[in-house]
Amino acid sequence: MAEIFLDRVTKRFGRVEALRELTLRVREGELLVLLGPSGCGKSTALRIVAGLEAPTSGGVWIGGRRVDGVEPGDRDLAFVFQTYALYPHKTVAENLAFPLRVRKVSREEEEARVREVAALLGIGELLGRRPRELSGGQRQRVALGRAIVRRPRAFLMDEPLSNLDARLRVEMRSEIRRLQQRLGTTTVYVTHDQVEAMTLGDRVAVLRQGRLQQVGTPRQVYELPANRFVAGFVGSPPMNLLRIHVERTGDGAVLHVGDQALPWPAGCGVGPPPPGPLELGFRPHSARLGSGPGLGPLRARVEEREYLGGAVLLHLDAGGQRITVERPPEAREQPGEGVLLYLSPRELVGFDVATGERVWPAG
Amino acid sequence: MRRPALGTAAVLALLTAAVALPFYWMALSSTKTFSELFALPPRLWPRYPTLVAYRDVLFTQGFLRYLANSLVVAGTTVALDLAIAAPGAYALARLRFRGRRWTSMVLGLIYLVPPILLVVPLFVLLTRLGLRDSLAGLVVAYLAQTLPVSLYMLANYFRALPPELEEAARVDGCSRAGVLVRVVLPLSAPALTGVGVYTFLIAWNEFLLAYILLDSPERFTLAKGLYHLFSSYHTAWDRVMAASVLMTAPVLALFLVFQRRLVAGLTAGGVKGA
Repeated sequence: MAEIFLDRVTKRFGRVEALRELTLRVREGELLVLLGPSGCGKSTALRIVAGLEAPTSGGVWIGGRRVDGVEPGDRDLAFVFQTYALYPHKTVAENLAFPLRVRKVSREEEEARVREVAALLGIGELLGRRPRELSGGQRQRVALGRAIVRRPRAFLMDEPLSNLDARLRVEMRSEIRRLQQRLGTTTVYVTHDQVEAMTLGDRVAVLRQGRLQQVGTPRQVYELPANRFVAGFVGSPPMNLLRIHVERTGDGAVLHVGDQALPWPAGCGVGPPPPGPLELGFRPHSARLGSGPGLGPLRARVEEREYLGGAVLLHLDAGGQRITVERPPEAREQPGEGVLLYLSPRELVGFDVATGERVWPAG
Repeated sequence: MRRPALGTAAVLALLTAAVALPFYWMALSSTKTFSELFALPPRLWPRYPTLVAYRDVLFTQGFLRYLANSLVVAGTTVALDLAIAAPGAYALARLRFRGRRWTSMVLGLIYLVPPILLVVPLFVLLTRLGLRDSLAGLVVAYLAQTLPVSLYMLANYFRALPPELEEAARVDGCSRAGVLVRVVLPLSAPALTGVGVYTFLIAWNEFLLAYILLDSPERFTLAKGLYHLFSSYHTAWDRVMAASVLMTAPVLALFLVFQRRLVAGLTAGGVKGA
């Protein structure tokens, strides 16, 4: 098991800057997810850790030792590719054994480990087959097996589930989680799917255009996003953002939303946001309809209604600003109706209008 | 295969006949007696089939020796060509080194030079190296001709392989050479076969350099030996035909054996990694 440390890693491909001063520490035994949209640099970062790419500047430390210039094969890491990268001319057993064969592990040891891994992943009957005879899920398991068989000090996974259909993805997701917890191996997992990130990661690192936006537990990233981008990227449907103007009045405050004035609820246990313009963020499920308590009442009109089975999504218009609210499936509100919203003060965040950084709550 | 329409079948039959007929006539003529060769009307089957021509060509005219020489030269050329071109092409395709693009370009430019222009410089060079009139010198000369093509073909093929396979092998602990030998080459059988056969053909059929470089009859290749059958002022056509059959048969056999792999090699480029 090892800790992985990226120190101000920058990567440029010609004129394109894929990573900018990325500094990140992956703790021993944790599963850290690198999350971000396509092109944000997450795969590049992973490949730099693996040694498949060299950073333009900055350093990589694995297990306390700097690994610049060390060949991928000597870093004691295992990589799981999005396309599985199974050797087509070898059987499943040979694929699993390959990392051991290259290192000249004894034949008995090799056979024992292959059997062990095959049993762990439930692919024992597939050992004699070739990759082209396997389904996507089976291939994925073999790819995982090949990574596990060496007992490396860290796993690097590059969107391993992206090529699977939705149901298989959910299944494999929990399997990977269970596996990682059972083996306790440090894992860096790259994905663009925020659901995967939230369910798998001990911690999540959000990247955008080569820059780290925030690192934290799924809860921290969800409830206290560091900026507008993280707020919109994590969580589905995304966080609502309302342009408001905060006016302090003596002990309290008034929040102006368009031509509406909402008094900050006294005694709610949370201090009001700082005065001035602000982008107020709240999640679709932290709004109440009809009555308080909470910050409100905010008048809005239902524009659209989406029935999801387990919930109803209402798309509202509040003085020209669009917000989405999640309601229980029995909700009756229809398009055209006016509603009154109450927001929970504890679940509110505020972003600077110009920079998008979270300024409230501070820290 | 669907049954072709009658018109298509007729055209195909015609084309096949056009290609096969000269070969058939050649083989046929090699077994005819002298008098039958030029008989009119021409016979499609010998009245008195005989192997006299073969016996003479192989044992008196020295073609057994020439056959051996051609096999040695072509075989060695193929072996050395593949041994050099495989790692070389891999370097061009996957490794980053200074002057890589320049090297690729120069290799391509070599193509533009007609082989005949290279004959004199090669002759001078090989003479200075003491390799004139030697099979080794011929191999060197043939390699000079075939390596650019081999490097080009193999580099293109390697480039088309999914890079993740090689990356997986590197992470699994292979050195660059290990990746080449354990992963890339096993997946390149079609391309290697194509390059091998092509190189064999060039080395086997080449005449100009063999003619110029070889002096001693015991070192002649089939091509040069065949030529000398004409030099006499009375050409023994049945001998010429027999020698031609000897020269063509191995190539035909080669194609028959490797045919499937060859077609795959020509059309490949999209190997699905996993």
